[in-house]
Amino acid sequence: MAYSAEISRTNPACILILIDQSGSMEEPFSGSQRRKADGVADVTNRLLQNLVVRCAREEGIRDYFHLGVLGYGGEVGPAFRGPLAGRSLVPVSEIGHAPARLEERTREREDGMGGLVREKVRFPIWFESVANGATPMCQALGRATSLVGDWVRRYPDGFPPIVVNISDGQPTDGDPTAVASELRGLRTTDGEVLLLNVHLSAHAFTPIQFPSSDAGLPDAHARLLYGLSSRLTPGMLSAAREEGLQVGEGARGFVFNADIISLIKFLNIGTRPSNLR
Amino acid sequence: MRIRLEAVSLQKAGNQPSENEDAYAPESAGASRGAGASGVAPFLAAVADGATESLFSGHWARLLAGAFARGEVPDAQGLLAVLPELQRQWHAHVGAKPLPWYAEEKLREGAFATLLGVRLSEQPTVDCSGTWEALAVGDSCLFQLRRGGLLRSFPWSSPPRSAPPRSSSPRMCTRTDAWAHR
Repeated sequence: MAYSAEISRTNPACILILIDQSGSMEEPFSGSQRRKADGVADVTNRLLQNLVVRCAREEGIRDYFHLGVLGYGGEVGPAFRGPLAGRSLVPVSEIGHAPARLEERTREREDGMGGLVREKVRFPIWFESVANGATPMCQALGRATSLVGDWVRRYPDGFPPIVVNISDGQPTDGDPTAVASELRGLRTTDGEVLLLNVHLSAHAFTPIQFPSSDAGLPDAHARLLYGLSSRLTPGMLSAAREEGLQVGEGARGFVFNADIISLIKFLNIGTRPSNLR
Repeated sequence: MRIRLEAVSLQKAGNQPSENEDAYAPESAGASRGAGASGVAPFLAAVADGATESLFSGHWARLLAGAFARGEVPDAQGLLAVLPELQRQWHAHVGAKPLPWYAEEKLREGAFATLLGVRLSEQPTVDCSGTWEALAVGDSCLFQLRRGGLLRSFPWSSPPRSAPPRSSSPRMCTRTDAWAHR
């Protein structure tokens, strides 16, 4: 069965995040004062943190994942800051050991007796918000195709790479259909590369999450992104249902008009490792 | 009652032996509480499978299996009663180390392990009979074999489709039987 390869240190998984850094990311998220660029940076750092923590063991961090973040706006390229600047796909152990900085934050957690306690935690930062320039999505997908192509040649039997594209606007460098199709056409023996798309909105529209057809989508841009997106794997379908979402068997890895909550949910579902060895 | 204990444990493929998070107790049949003392004292043994995804789960598994084999877990209520002390011991063990940010973060989730304990008791008045009683949390499984055939398994009669939730409730089973060997 496809998408069932175990993720191990000899056959790690690859997750590549493409982040729109165009000028419009300065605008706030729907229903929020928060800039989209800041929200996406925070969610991306949180995702990296969660994946590092998931791979942490007594002896250190096991390299179950190689992770990358590509930004596209004024420039297209690797978006890590600090010691990892300029690196594309990096083993998760190196990511865990080399955040650009550690922020001290306060958070609340349940105390086990019905109350909440505030505690100080160290929050690692690898990726900072950027918002300038246009939306060269085709270039970003092309760069992703090159990186992921190298990856599948190196790990031909691994879990297929997952590419998550987060954007708030239409591509300014052409129609991405062909390059997205080339990217999705790359494969390991366990299945084709998965391309998931998140469209962020500054307007208070209800997010459309994991649609199974493009019939109810509001415009041509939404239908274009739907067409670029892979079908959810069985593991992702289960994860979506665990999150309380109603998803059909043909559901695509796509959310339109996402707010910050649906972005977090989407990444949890699209990048949850369920078969770590 | 003649008892031979043999423990076999193997790390997952691709892992080092030091990364094996499984535990068992006692180390030998003679080390079980009461074994050999009177010939009728119960024999206690346990296995615990530390969850790969949690940190220091091997240590937690060893604490659980050890507590059962020492007779500190008579039943499900007894398991709940002994947990706070075992949790204190686990925290003392992991808290003694300076940890990087990711380990600190992960330790907030705690550690997880299955537990399967079995108690063998001989009936002093009835020839060739005895009772086994088992307690299980999670997806470790006990198999009772006789003459090469499966007599019974507990708590699973077929493999679970997915790992049980981390908050599984303990299950108990008691069975009186003629022993295969005396």
